[in-house]
Amino acid sequence: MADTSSRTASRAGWARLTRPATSGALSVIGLILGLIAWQVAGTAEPVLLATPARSFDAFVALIGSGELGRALGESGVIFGLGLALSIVVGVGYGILLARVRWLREATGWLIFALQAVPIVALAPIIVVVVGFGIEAKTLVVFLSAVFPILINTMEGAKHTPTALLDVTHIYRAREWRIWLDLLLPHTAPFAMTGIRQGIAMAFVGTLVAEFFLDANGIGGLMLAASATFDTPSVLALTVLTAVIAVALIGIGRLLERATAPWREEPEE
Amino acid sequence: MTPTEQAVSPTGSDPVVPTVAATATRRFARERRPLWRRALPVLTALLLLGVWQALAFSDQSGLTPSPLGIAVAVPAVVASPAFWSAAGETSLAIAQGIVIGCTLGTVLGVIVGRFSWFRHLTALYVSGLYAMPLLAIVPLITIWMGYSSTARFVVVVIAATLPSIVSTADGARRVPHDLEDAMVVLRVSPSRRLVDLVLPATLPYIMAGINVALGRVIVGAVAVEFLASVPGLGTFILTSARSFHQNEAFVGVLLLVVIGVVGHALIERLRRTVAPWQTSSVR
Repeated sequence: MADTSSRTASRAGWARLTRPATSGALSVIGLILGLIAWQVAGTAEPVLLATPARSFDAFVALIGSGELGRALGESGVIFGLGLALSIVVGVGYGILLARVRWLREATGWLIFALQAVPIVALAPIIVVVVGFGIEAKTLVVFLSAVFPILINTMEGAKHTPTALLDVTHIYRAREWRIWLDLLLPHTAPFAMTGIRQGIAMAFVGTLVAEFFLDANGIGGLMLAASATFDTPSVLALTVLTAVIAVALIGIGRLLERATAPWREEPEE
Repeated sequence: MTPTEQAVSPTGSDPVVPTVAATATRRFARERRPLWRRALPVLTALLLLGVWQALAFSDQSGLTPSPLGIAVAVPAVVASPAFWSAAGETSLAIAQGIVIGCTLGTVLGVIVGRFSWFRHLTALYVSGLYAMPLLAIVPLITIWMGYSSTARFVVVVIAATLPSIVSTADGARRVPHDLEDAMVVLRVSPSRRLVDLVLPATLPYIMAGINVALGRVIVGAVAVEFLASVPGLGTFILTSARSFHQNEAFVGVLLLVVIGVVGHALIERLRRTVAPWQTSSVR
């Protein structure tokens, strides 16, 4: 009996020791299996599916011609502008809503109503009204990203400890000092959760803008390749998009974790 | 917003009596709120609609949709059979996506959640596809499936499957260990363990996954309709906007919002029926 339990214990210890290695190895095996499947399918269906090697060649060609660099630059500009704007507006208005009660009563419902509108469906109307320049594309990115940031900031700022707020009032702190020393630090972790979601949504918005407004950037490149049945390029760009998306979400997680330690959960 | 939320004291250290007093004063204050403050949401709505109308009116091109224009367009759009057949196409595609995608996602999600070797094997693909904006797979799918409603079907099913897998797997991993140990000790067969423990414990997560899936499915359906001109609400919006019928296009967008809201309400209702023990949604 004692023998068995000690053996299970040592086996559990062994499993704990080897777990990261096993999971890593399994992921690599998964990657290799996927590549083999892709190779087999690509050889069988050369038109509909290109082999990994051909896709890689197409990827290298896109870099070599400078097309990919330019496209990433174009996408980066609208992504960056739209995200920056949505962070400023989302965090600013979110805290303002927590400070000014009548404003919250007046516009709080509107935020949840607007959030339900699928931005993709608005794209054709935005083209007609705003055009398809960089302003219109930034608007699409902004609209995609602002609501998670706004809502998370609002919820966080609403639960600012009243005792601390009372202290700032007793000491007659000025409004901007209250924002700087109390509201922003308290709300930062909550806003960061919103920003993490906002980063992912901004990338979706970037592709929406490039697909349905003016077709440039990485989305435009993908559409052009798809229209000419250039399967290797489409595959390469699709994989690249997935990698960028995973990287952006990783960055968002890091930002969120950096502010998490001073997060004060509201007590329910 | 709600009285209970207002009444919750954020500083837990407060003694009980002042909190109750504070609640009472606040409730009193709420009841005595002047009429203009209670009417504030309505006033804001009217103000915004007025500003919107004025902006649209001042736009010389007449291309901006306006609230009055939309109100005038509603009867004509609602009376047109083309609109309803488009709405039917899209709603059917959304429903198919949710039902097929989430069934598939639940099965795969339980496997991914229960077997760690399978989880590690597929982690790369699940997280990559889940993170990737769905739009990015549309060009590839149109190459494979053509510019057809099959392409929409495939995109919609993928759109529903991934959030469903991720959420279900998350739930299947969080099955209470003590209950599971008890079942092992009592030598309950694996199939009974699945039906009596794993599935009930995962149900809230499955429902949360369906909720995420709905939003993604709507976006996916509309995106394919735009790109591949498959008949549906997306094409209705696109052709209306391109032929300078912005108000009609906006009615289409509003119907999409309604589909989303009704869909979420139906899912919430389903959740209450199948998982009544769960009071609030996960996450």
